[in-house]
Amino acid sequence: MIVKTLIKTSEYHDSVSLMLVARELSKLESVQDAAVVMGTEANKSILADAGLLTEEAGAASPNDLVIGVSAPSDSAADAALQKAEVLLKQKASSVQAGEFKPKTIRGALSSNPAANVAVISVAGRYATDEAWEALSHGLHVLLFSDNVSLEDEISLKKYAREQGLLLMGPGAGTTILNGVALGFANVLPRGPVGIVSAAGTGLQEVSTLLARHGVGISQGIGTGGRDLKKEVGGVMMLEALKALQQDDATNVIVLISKPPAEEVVRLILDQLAASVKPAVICFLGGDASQSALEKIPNVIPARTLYECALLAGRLIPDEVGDVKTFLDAENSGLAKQAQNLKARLNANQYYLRGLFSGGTLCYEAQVIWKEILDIPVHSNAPLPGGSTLPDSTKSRRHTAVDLGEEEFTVGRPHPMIDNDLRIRRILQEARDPEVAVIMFDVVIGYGAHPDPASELGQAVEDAQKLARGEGRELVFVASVTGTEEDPQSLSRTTSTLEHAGVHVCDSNSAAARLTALLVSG
Amino acid sequence: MYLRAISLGYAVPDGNFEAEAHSVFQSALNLHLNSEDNLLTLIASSEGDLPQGIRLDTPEGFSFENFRVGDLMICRDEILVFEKDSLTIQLSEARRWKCDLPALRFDPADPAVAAAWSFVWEVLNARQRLSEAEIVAQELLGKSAREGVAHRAGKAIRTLLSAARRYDLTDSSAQSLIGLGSGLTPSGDDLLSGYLAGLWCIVQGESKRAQFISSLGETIIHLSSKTNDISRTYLYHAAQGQVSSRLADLVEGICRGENPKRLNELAEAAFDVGHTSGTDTVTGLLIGLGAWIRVEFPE
Amino acid sequence: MTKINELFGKDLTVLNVGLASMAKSVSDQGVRVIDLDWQPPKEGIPRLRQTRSGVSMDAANQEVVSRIQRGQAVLIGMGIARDVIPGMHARMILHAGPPIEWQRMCGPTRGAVMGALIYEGLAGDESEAMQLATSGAIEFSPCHHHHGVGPMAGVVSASMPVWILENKAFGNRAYCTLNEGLGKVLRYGGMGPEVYARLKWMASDLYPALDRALQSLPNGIDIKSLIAQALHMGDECHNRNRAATSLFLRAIGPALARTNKDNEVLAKVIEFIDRNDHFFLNLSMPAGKAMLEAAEGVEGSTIVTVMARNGTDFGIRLASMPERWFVAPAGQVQGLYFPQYTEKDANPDIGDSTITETAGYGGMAMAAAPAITQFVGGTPQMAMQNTLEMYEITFGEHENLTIPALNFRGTPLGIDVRKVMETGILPRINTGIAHKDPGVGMVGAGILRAPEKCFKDAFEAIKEM
Repeated sequence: MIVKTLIKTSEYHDSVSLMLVARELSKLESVQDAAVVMGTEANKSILADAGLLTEEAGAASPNDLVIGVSAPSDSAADAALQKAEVLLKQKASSVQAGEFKPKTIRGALSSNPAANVAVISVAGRYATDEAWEALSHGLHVLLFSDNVSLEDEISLKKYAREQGLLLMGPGAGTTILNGVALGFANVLPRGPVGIVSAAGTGLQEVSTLLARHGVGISQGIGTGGRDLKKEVGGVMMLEALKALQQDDATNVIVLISKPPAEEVVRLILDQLAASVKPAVICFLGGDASQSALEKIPNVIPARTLYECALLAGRLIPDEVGDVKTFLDAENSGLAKQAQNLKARLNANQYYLRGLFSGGTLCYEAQVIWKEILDIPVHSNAPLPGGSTLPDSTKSRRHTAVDLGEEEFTVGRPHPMIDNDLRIRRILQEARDPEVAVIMFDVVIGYGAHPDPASELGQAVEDAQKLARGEGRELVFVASVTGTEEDPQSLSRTTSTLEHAGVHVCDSNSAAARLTALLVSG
Repeated sequence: MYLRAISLGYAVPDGNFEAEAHSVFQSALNLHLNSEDNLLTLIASSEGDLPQGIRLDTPEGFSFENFRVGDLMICRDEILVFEKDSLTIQLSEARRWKCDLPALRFDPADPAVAAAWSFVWEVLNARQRLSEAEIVAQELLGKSAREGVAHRAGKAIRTLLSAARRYDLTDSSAQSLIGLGSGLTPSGDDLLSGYLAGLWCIVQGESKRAQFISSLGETIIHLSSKTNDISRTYLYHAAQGQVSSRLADLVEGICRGENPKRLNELAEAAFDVGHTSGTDTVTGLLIGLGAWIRVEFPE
Repeated sequence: MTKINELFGKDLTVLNVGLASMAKSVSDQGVRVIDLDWQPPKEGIPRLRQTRSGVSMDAANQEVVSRIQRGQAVLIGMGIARDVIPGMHARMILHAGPPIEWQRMCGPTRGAVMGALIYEGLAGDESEAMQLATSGAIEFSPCHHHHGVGPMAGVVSASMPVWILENKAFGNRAYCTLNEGLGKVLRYGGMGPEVYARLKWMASDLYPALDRALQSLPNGIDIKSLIAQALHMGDECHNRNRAATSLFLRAIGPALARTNKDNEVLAKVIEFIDRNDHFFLNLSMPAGKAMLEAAEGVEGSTIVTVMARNGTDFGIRLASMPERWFVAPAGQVQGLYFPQYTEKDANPDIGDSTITETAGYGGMAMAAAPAITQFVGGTPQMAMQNTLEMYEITFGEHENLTIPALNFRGTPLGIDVRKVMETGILPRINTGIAHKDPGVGMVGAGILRAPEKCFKDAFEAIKEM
């Protein structure tokens, strides 16, 4: 019997390939015995037992691959080892050159002069330079990156305005241009409503609520959260508003933001007055600007995102009349549901906890809670004049946490992409005996986690188990921001959550209302 | 290609570093850090987290096989760039990942937990028999007549187990497992990694146990110079109580007394590593869990 | 209508700068996405826009590129080196690449120098030639210092016949010897009777025949136009000159026939040209030189007008500082080797033929010559990618030289040192590989990138400009 070995020095193949080689070799009729192992002492001793330990193999190191065969003839042994070599190489040669990728914006444009939008998501400290580069080449820019300084934002936006270009961002999570979702956005029908929003999830919530009622949008432009600050002056909201006013495909305009700086409100009002197109304005939590808005004939103020969608989509039947009447009817249904659920709670379960991934949704919930609850809600992102949570990692009494705030996302992914943080927080809240209800938002669509409902559903089950172990029951309330056509699918997401025992409402606003009704009165 | 890292294992350095490609696989690439003995591993999104892993948000069909051993890579300000090929990785938004095995309470007195353990033991053995694996958990514990790797491994693990029960640190049976058997990470090494993980789950605050594990861990780290770089890295971290997320998730599921459906999912994920590395590691884990706590090893 | 309203009506074409997942979700919606292979900018590379005296570098580069493009390289005649090349004398030897003394010359260059000394009758044999070369009695000078270029060793001695090209748009001239063909030849350092015999025949028969023919053509032969046509026929005019050589023969054929009475000599001349696919290389090179030299002396330009190697060093010069060489060690070529050779036999990168890449063809136009990958290695797809990549580091695109496979897009023209440093992309060069020992000849062909150090040093100089 001839014994031969092949040593592949410092060559690593995955175990599956090694096993396949070993199997192929032992299948060869001419091969008596074969071994494919790393050259460790232990394996050498096994080889020795099998009579496969050659001098070469004996000298192999643990980082070497040893292929040993015994065969009746020299040539059969050689052939087997050659075969082993071929099998090992097979995998390595399957690599092919990919498509050419340009390295710079300039290079990309020289080959693709028709490009019109740059989506920039590189780390913040490089993002400004790339945005300049894109704007100076006449591209509209969606600046997805965070951590761009306010000074840079101001000068980029001023330059963009001079050039007549859009600079959406920084931190613009959501934009829908010509029906194409960029960043975090949903699959939506085209239609008559044009939206400009300084709040990413606000844009998602309103556009998906409209979509569920068959109303499409013409454009959905995200300006970035700081656009309506005094320093930036609402530059992009104003530019986008002008464009929508002139856009034939847009019949109704929607503006969404947290309350803007006063001087910015004035600029926006002036611009709104320049056109007769109806505009629904949702400055969430900004009671002060409400009256000013009402003075302009074509402007309709909305208090919540839900109202905003109802008004913009003209979803209220004529016979019902105004929003208030419509909402009152809906709310009485929620009140009944709350009444039923309350029976499950112990007497000392007082508080609600809202755990949000979308900042605007957290804000909208607080607007509703402020109206219903007698005692204040603490939050790391409170309404103007609201109560700031001293330590965002610990809830106290009624608490709303925006887990997408920077304090949580530095050095970790956003809660819309990674559910880990929320899962842990759900379990943390479940351990608090005074908690009655945990509310959370589930945002789906492009850019979001591929299956948030499964992970969050699992967390809800675990949390409920934990609470039951301590002799109480928790109520979980959620809403899903998304459409049926989204990759995660609205109905699939909803039913997964319901299966886990979550009460899923039709809107964030309804979910917030149900949650509040459980702990009030 | 510009990719974001999803998670960083506890062993991934914080600051700047330089490294070169040590070994290349389809869904993983090992990096040899210039300043350290252990490896770092870049892993595709489809894989689980690793103590030394940088898991990337890779698109479908991504393969590391365009890279060559020896390719240089530098990391500056949380941006990792390969000099030759075109891959840039942003580390700054990644989640730090670490497992906490000692925090688990493995309590087989709880019928649900005992049932979970037995269930996983059964699916493990079934899987090993079905795939004609060299090592079958059940046979390791019985005095099987099988020769070769399984025979040696069985003898060693039984000795290891009884030494742990006697808190006997003079036992040297770990040595005969190091580098033993087939696979890129030899089976014996995988058994040891899993075994260490099992022990870490049953420390339960007892200092005697903690001391025993750290001594055993040191011995194994010392012995691991006798196996290859990749295997050594896993052993090193297992000695610190750090294992892959798939293994950690499985043992957490057992400790929670999960239902069979969920356990089956967790077990399948843990098995699906390498060819037999997954099942070998789980074998070590389940045996380790019974070192100081009475578990009915089925006859 | 504002640009925003214009956008509302258009199909989106998205440039993705960053996360691959962003590109994917957009392309999943059926939108065209160009996903950049973005990398962080190189450390310590400032964006340079103007010189210290306030000259706009972009404007200067525009002028340089425009001059190169306006160049009309025409073959106007021939002559003997000592008579026509400025500064040439009987004891001077010209060589490829940046300046180099005998002691540092590589094998092929030394062989070619010694061979030329023997050919000129200045030395009787190799040992005499060696003595003479080391004695200091011979003046060595780069071709580039004399408006010339030479392939491989690039050696030119006083009595050799040379092509004379004139840039009709600017009036400057460039010179180059005639291509000897493959095998044991002087430009690879070949010595021996057959080398000298061929050179003698080229001087005694080939040169007069071609010279007579050219004299009968009052307008000469437009070489730039031949290059442009050859790019449409699968040549890149550095490592593949098959089509261009045929075009040249077609252009000069009638004149050759009319002006040469001896049919046997004529047949030998035609055969010689026909059997050498690289015959045209010695025309494509001086054509590049003639067009580039006219762009020299533009203040503030960051464009490279010379890239050349002598087998030991690789050197570049800039349009704004045409007298200054930025030098680094010459690289090793990755490529395909002829059967009996390996990379151990290879000499480092050598020759002035990189003038073609500098002038916007050669490696720059590889997408026009997919068949070349059989010669230099790689795949046709890679040839395409090479050209696409080069657009990232050139200032412009050539208006007259175009690539059919890229929808007749102009070739990448004008290597901009700033872009090279900003992107970290170094120019790619297609080249032949010489044996490291004198006289063995060509051992293969391949591709390499120019050494980074030349560009680094040039960038430092630009900063001070």
